[in-house]
Amino acid sequence: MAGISSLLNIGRGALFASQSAIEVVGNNIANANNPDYRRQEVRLEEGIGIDSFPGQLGSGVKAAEVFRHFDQFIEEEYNFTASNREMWDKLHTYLSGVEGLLNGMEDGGLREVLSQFWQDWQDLAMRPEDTSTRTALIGRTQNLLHVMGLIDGDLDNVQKQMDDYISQDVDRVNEILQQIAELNRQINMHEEAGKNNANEQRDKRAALVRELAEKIDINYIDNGVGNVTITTRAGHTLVDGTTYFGLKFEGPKAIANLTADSAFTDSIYFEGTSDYEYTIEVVTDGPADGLAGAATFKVSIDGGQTWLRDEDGNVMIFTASDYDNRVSIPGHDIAIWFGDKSNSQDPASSNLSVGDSFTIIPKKGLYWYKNSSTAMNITPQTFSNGAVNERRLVGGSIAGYFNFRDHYVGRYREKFDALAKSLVWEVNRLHSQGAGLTKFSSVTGTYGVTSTVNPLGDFSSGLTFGDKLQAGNFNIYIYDENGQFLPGVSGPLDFDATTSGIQNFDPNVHSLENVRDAINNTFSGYLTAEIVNNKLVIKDNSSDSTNYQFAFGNDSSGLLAALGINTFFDGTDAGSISLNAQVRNNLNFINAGHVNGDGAINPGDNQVARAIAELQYSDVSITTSFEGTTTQTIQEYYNSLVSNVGADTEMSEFNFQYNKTLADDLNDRQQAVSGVNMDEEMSNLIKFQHAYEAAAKLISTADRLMQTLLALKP
Amino acid sequence: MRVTQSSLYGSIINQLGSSTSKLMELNKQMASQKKIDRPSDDPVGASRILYLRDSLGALDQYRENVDTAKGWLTLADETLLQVNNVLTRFKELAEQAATGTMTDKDREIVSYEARQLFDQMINLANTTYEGKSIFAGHRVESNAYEKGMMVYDREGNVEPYLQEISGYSDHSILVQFVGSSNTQATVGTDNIDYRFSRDGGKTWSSVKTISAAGPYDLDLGGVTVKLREGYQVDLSPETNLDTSKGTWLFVTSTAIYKGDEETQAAVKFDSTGSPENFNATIKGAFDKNVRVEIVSGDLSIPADVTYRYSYDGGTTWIPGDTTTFTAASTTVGQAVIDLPDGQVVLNGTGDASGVTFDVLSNSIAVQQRVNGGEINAYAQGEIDSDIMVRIDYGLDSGGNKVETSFALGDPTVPSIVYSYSTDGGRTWIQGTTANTAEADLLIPGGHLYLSAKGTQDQIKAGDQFVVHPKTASLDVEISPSDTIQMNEIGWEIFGGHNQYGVKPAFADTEPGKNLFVTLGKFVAALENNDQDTIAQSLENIETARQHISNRLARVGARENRLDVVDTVLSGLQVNKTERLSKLEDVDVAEVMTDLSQQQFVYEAILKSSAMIMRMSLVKYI
Repeated sequence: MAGISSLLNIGRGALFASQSAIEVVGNNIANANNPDYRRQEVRLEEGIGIDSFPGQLGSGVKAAEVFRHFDQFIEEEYNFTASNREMWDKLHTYLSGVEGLLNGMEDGGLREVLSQFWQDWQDLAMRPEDTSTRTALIGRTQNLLHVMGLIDGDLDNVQKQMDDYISQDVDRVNEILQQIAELNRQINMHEEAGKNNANEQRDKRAALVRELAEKIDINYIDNGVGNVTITTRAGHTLVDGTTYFGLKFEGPKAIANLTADSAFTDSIYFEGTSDYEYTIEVVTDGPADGLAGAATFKVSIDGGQTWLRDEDGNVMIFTASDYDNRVSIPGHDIAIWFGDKSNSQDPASSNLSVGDSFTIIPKKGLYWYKNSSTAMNITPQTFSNGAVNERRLVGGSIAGYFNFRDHYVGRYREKFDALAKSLVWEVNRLHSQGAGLTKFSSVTGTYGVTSTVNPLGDFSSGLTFGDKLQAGNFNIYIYDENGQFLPGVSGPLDFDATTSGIQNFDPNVHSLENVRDAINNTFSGYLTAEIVNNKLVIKDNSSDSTNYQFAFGNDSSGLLAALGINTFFDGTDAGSISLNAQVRNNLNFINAGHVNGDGAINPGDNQVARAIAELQYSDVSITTSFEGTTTQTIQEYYNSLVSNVGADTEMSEFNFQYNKTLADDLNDRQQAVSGVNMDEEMSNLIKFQHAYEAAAKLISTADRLMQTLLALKP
Repeated sequence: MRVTQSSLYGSIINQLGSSTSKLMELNKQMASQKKIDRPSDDPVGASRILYLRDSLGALDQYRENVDTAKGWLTLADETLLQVNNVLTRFKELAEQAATGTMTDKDREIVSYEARQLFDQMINLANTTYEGKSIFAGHRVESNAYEKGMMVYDREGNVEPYLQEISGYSDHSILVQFVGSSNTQATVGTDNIDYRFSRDGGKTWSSVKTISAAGPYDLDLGGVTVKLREGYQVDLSPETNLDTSKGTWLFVTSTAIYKGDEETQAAVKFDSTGSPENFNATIKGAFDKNVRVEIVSGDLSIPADVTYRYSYDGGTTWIPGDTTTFTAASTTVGQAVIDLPDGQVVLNGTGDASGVTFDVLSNSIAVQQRVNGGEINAYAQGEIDSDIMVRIDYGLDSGGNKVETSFALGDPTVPSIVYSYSTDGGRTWIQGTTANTAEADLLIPGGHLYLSAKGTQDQIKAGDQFVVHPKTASLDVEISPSDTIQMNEIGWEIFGGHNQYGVKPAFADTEPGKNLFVTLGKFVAALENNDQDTIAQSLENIETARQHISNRLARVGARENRLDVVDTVLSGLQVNKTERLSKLEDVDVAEVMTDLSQQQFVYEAILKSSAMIMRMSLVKYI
């Protein structure tokens, strides 16, 4: 029934509604610069109408609930682009650093010392006997090696730095996941639909989801209140309501994936490190003993999309072997073998079956754990065709760090290593066939094998340059102690003394021991060859009083360069490249000339120096696992690496800017919905103030009505 | 659209930031004067810049090479000019001395000057650049020439019988074989008396004797001439001083070449005897083909190896059809055979009797790695560095690969497929040739010939041959794959004698060209007062002068080429520097314009932002 008290009630309700609206406005103003805060508003509800005379009369207003302005759809879109933006941002930031490292455009960089290196050989070709020219060559070469070492070391450092960043981010991700699960619990507890909104918890959760999306790419599924499921874009559940599943950043692993009826009960082992993952698939059945009839396998570095091929384009097939015959993957610093489950050096006792497959991750990777025993590899991966593996992490800063570490720097390093390796091989190939100012009385090879009995050209020999060997031979020229050439003794090696004529070296047949025996047989009484620390040593035969000296030449097999005899460089990649110690200690072992048709080594001979200098313009084959074999000069290869990094940096910057613009726009749209506008809040403030005043007026009016009524004298 | 406070301020900050970064970029361009500072500024442009910088670096080096080569060649040029001047003086002396009016006293006086000039000639041939002999081929560390002695008789018969000369005399020596006229004596058969004079026949030594039992050494007081068995001399009485009667030996100065030369020669065995058991290497300079027959000798025992040789393919033999020489040394597995042109070292086992081989001049020795034992292999052509040749396989008439052994000339395997490498085995190029008894494999600059050696006639896939020439020229690169020879090979210019043989350079083509022999003989003729020889020398000196002029012209031609190359290189430098500048240097006017435009934009943003920031409802309530 209408009455003054009901009027008072309406006034009180209006006062209260205005007051809470002013409070919400105040909260909005206070949080205007809080990026996580979403604008709130009080939903006013009309009071219950009471049927009465002269009709239904309203009972005023009710502040029903405080709700926040928030567009979930825009938010999800924003999170998606933010993942991409963060990935490209990290890539761009660190790629710019690498670009500076390679220092290709400025003076004093590798490009300059490399071209100086060739020019020094030109200088040596002009003054082959000159000690100061030799000193300059060695000094500058060391400078070149120093710069290469610096760049390689810096690249290695940025990779290690990424490991730190990833580790920090993974820790943070796990915290966030835990917090989101906790917030879900709280929201479940607090929220009551239409009455009580857990605005603060929801704001917090949205902020955490934003932070999460910046670190990894996610899917957000909202089933109301705290029933929120977050998965990676590939589908690995991270948060399911109030439970969460963590990620782990873990060291090298080998994972077996055997066929259902496989009898294999042993383990795969590996040594070495790499920025790739290796997928190994057995192609023929058999034991893993490295003997005839052993199982064979192929290797992929992109999860089985493509298989490693040799320079002729054939898929490389490796023999499954035990530790002693472990297989080195050409071009990769990885050796693989099979062994007993408990002792890696004991041979495996069970057989491999066709289809058995193994994954070797010789680097720190990211794993998703549903429970403690199921590690699922979600390390970002890029296939050789440039497509990303969609079943792994693909976005966010963590993917940015991983891609930077593996796909970008990993490849630059592989190219850089391939360049260093090619430089070593090409220079050594020519240098090893030359002769310096001093003949040898003893020489030790710089490159060792892992097996002295397996053929040198085989993957199981462990010889770094084993795949470069060709069928052929080389000459050893023998001199007596007065330097007198001994033509009848000098000549090529005979790999089978029992057959007439000269039996040449065959990389698929002859082992290091065969090379040793061939030298001992062919030059019996003059030279002795032995194997020390798996390296070849050739020296004067000490059993007689004559101290024979020797020199090398005309190597069609590549043995000298592959074994590191009479070479200029030692080492196999950018990190290990150095001068052959014998050359470094004695400048006379720099080979400018060669043993000529007279058996003489003349100080004015510059044939080898010139040939090495000409390498600057010679196309060489450089093989990397992702580009295959390219043919260009070493200098061009380096230049292309520099512009490759430049192009990647440019591309990452473009992608960053693109995604940033998108994200900024989406953020603006979210802001337009949920942000605080001061002018609006001010006018609301005034509006609600007036409403409050009006409500107060209503009460005082009711009061006066009451006064009037009470003043009526009976 | 609702605009909120934070997006308003955020966008102002963004706009200011992007405008400042554009200003920064322009400022950086102004400071470095480079458009492309980092590869990501323009990856394609960057790679072209890197390429141009490399090219410019290389051009610098080429110009340095050209400069050094110029140093060598200019010095060679000057030296040869001086040689020419000295030769002119020699010619004048010869003209004076050839006149009959000159007395022997006068000739003696002329001989003093001639000897001085001869010594000076050796000094000129030993000219060094930066401490390196420019006329010694690759043996730059030592003198190209050393003083030495040579022996000749008027008929030229002594050469084959000359084993060695040792010692040195700075005056020529005249040797007379003493006995009654019109009698002959043979070294090794008869005791032979001789005497010698060191002053042109004015005073003589006491009479000495070479015993028939050996050694056959002429002891000339400080100079020893070792003869071989079989040398036949005409005796003349002590009263005879006419060098045209009887056999006289003239011992005089020459220069021994100590540098290296590129006179190539290879050995090819005949089918007689058991050639498959032997191989041979050569030392010395062989100008023409020599056929050598091992008459007897067993390298396994070892027994002395006896041999004879022929310059006409075996029609006439030296020393004779029935006589032989004995190898200088024979040890187990090795015999050293002396020939006038140099030495042949025969290696092998077993009886060498009947083994006959040709030393082929203008052929390059080939080193073999042959499965079935060595065959005959030699190369011909202009080859100045090692070439490796590999037999890939044979092809039968059906075009199928034959990878087992097959005989050279086997009609069932009509073709040989082979590869060669000129860069030490880095790259190989394949070729095909007909399989004939003497297979001809085409290689860069020439041919490789393969034929049977005795019973060995098999080749097999994988067999390799290394064409291994003697090298002496010091070449430097003056532009990509273009080289020039900096040094000179003294042997080809001055001649003289080879250290391994007794035969002088050019002996078979034009003996006069041999400057040291010509001058040595002239000096001897002056000292021996030998007017006939002086007259003949006059002609030879002219020939030598012609030869030197010729060589001078070749040096000059190379100098000219260097000039041309240098001009081209500097042109390229200018061109590439310009292109580099176009690619990477900033256009200052353009950047200045951009800069002031950007400045305007920046100020505009500041102004409008300040205006917007002032506006708020808060101010009015």
